[in-house]
Amino acid sequence: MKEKLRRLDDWRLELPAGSRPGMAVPAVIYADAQIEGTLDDKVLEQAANTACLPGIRRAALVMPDAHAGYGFPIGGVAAFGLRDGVVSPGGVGYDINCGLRLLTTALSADRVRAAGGAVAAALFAGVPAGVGSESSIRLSKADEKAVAEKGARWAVEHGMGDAGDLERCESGGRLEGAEHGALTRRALERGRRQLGTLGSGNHFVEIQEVEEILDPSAAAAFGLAKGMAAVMVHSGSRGLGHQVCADSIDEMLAAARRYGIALPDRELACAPCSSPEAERYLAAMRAAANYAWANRQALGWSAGEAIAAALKLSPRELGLSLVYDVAHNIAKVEEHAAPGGRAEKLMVHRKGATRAFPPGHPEVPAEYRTAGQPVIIPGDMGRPSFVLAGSGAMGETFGSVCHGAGRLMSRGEASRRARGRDITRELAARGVSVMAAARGTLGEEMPEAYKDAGQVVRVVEGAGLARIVARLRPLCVVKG
Amino acid sequence: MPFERIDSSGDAGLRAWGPDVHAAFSALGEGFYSLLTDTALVAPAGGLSLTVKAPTLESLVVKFLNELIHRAEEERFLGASCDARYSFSGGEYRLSAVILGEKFSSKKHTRGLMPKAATYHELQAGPVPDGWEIRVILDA
Repeated sequence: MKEKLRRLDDWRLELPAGSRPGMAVPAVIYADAQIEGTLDDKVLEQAANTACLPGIRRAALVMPDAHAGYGFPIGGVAAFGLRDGVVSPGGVGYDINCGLRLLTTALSADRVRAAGGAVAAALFAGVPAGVGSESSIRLSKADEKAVAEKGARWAVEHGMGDAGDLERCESGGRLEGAEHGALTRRALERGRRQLGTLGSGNHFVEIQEVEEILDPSAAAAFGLAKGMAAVMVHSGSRGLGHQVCADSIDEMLAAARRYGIALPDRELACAPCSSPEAERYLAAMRAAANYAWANRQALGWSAGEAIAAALKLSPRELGLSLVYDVAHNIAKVEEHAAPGGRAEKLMVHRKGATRAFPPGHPEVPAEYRTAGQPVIIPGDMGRPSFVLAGSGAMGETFGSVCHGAGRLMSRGEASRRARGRDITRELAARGVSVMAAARGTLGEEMPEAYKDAGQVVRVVEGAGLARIVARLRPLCVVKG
Repeated sequence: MPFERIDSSGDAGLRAWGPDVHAAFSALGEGFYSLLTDTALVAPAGGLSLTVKAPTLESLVVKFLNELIHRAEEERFLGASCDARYSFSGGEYRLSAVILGEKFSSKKHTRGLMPKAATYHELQAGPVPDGWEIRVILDA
């Protein structure tokens, strides 16, 4: 496929419609020359396959952090017409509403550094992570129903945060149309004891230092100041969400056959937006998304408790304040401009991609409306993360940007390259205290396994999709 | 049992094989637990029996692994060995497995990667010249 790529400008490549039979639209890949060099042919094949699905609008979009997924690429955006398009669980992913949450504190980064590894150890003890971890939260059946319907609000009502937090979550931390009844018995079982747990793999809680402010006006609006310590949380809907996706794939495969949709890849299994199969999936997916928002609300809260305990601070002294919470694995109905200037409601799938609405958009919280929606882009364990503000993405990417650094190596390759190295010590030499539940995680997640997030966000900014507001460097990292 | 991890972007892949279909599924079960923990530290102190049914061979693989994920999460059960029996009749694929192992203990067991779900991505299951082989990617 690479030979069919056409460079549009310094930041964009196009895989023209017709690069493979059945493509209804082109694929647009956001990449400078350096990122183009890391592009996997599988990503292009998956983007081309996505461009074949019925009712797709504009283009299959591939962000600069993309790597191969299954069906859709990770770092992909695809929007479909509600009347002629489809919903695909593969376009959302197994970890429904996996996302990020950023909180500021009243602490200086120096205060965290001075405490050494004690804060990382407290976070590790206070945030359940990894295989066999257990949450202190036990949901009754009624609780679980409420979580599925209320999202982050449920956690706030149970003392984990305050009502102001909800304004600072994408979609208010809750999707309309969630149905607890659409969740299978197994999904409910998996959800009952996992609220407030991090998971394993690339999920994390980090304390970071706001190292540099690049857009002072937006940073001030987001409450970010140079030298402050901030908390970043990366997790999703845990087993409940994974089960929703797993439950839906077989039904969607059957639905695709029933509706005569030719699938270039089984993981692109889908059903027409208006079909009963799509309605069932969306009701369950929204419930899982709400569970994920409650989960990150709980995780942010328990991280704060752990930090306060380690540094012997009152909640007031810690001053934990939510900046924003974004989803990066989700499908949502949104209104976007269509040819001819009219607006059209679309089913926007973001799989490893983040919503990045511009200044003035009504879905951006009032306090951020001049700056644009905050976008949280994590780096890796050793290199910086970024806060961006949505800018010009609406007309081009359905208001979407990347979701992280993006993997460069498989877990296996990273493990092999880490063999014989002491990743903990290497990170300590860079001023990062790291703790992981699983011994192998540090090798699999080592910095070189990822692209440089700085390079990824430069492409996003260069393409005019979002502005870089602040750079944050890791101080303490807790992994599952 | 013969299995190995195979590379797959950010996820976890397994290749399991054996002289026949039963052995390949047994190896797949053991390979799964090797993702979660060092199975040499898991004692065969208890047992887990399960049966899964599916309309296709591929979905049997996916359902089997998803069942193991569910049991590992819900019952915190780790397997040391797996004995699987495969059958096909009346258009239905069926797998029964007996897994020996024990509950997770943070004092005794190491922590590995807990997969989210098994996927159909590049899934292959079937006879090979010297027996049977299954290749599957798990979302991690």
